[in-house]
Amino acid sequence: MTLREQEVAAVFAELTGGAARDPLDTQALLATLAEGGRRLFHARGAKVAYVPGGHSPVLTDGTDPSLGSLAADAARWEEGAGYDARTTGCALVDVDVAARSARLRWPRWSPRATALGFGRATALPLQGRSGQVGALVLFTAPDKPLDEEALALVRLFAEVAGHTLTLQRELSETQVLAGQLEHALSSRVVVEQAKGILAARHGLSLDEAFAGLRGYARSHRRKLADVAREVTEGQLPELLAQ
Amino acid sequence: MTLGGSSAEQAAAVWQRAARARERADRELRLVRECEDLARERGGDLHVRLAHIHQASARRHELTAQLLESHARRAARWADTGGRPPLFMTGVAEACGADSAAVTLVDIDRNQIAAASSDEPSRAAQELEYILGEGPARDAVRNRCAVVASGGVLAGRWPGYGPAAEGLGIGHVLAVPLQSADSCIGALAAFGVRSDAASTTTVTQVADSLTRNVFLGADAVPGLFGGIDYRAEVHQAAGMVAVQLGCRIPDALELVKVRAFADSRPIGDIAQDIVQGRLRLG
Repeated sequence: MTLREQEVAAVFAELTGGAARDPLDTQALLATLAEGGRRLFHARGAKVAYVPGGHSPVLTDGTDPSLGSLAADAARWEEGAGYDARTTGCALVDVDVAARSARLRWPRWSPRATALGFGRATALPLQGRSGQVGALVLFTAPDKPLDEEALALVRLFAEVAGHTLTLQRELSETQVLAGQLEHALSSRVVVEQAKGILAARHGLSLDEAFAGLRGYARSHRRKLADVAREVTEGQLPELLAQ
Repeated sequence: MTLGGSSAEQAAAVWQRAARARERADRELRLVRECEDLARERGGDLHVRLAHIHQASARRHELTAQLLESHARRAARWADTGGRPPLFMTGVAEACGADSAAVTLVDIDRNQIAAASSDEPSRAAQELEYILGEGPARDAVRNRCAVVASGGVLAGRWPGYGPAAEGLGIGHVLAVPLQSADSCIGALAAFGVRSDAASTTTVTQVADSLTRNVFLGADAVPGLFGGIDYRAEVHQAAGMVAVQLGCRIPDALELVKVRAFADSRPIGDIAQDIVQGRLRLG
């Protein structure tokens, strides 16, 4: 491995390590990605846009606040090298930000990027499992294009970043689903317990007890499981009392 | 969750799920090949590591497809010949290379809140853990690691569960947690598997498929096609006992469990008796 490749591997380790620490912190992952990209390729700045699962909202970040807001505006304007890379899946390599073609294509993005002192941009799509889910944009000064070695490696970097974001998203989705399943199962348990309590307390069948529980929840516009939980905790003595 | 319609329609719906799992496995395998090609071209270990990640994911989807396909075959046979409806856990036991298998789902306080099993011995063993509050699945959840025990070790490790399990003819058990990242939703216990490292790997892979695809995935079937037992009547009985004896629900639940153990009867039967007024505790 060359020194650069070792650096890519180090940033990759940083990304995956960060994800393992807190799989839900996507924003921290994006910040690491932008900063890692800037540092690796000796860019002047970097910004990143990411659409988890290919649906809105677009999450953005940049290596400094002005780039962070450019990333957010670009997503809203649907403009810029990153937007094109993200929507077409094609990399834009070493684009002249101030060129006439760039100004025509991105009437708001091009002047803003130029005003921030950036001359050239390289935008790479971040690939998810089925199609691109975002883009990483590296900016350099007008007279400083990315060197050839960097260009070869920057694709690898974007590819690894796309995979990492996808894996992180799958893990965090699994966590959310685990919470939902647990909630659904626990709700069932307390509803059955509350049915037993009400049936025994008022000499009802279980079906009658359930109808009473559901009727109370509906008329008080409350969730069935919440009412049931209160019954099991000895509250709501008035429920079904004549 | 149960699927509506005739049993033949149910079998067809399971086949479709299996086909979707296989598509996911194929997609991952394509990514594995891409990563391996890139690893060969460029050297370095980044793509090798990515290939490993996709390989694991492909294996998980492949196993899920196999579990669904085996259930679909049984569902189709059932549509033709009738009899007892097929159990999803039968295929799980087969995939584990086990005589039988049981799954336990737990809440955040690690209380069992649902269970499924492939046959009577595994159901009884699973229920022993529920009643006694000790056993391999419980330890797998608590320690977040595989638990293996056989023969005399069973009784040494779990003084209540061990001898009773041996009485059910269980000689060897391997339990692994159902976990992903920070979440642990329960455990899978396989009975009568060989006690080697390969078995542990296989059962762990089956557990991974169950967790990520069967219980939690985008295409999940957490009700195991009607095979999961929420122990509804046990909780109804606990509610009734709590009123009859003026105690708290956890204590009432404990009394129902104690009665089942004392009478050596399934806890569901005891609960039925209480709910229908044939049995009063206290």
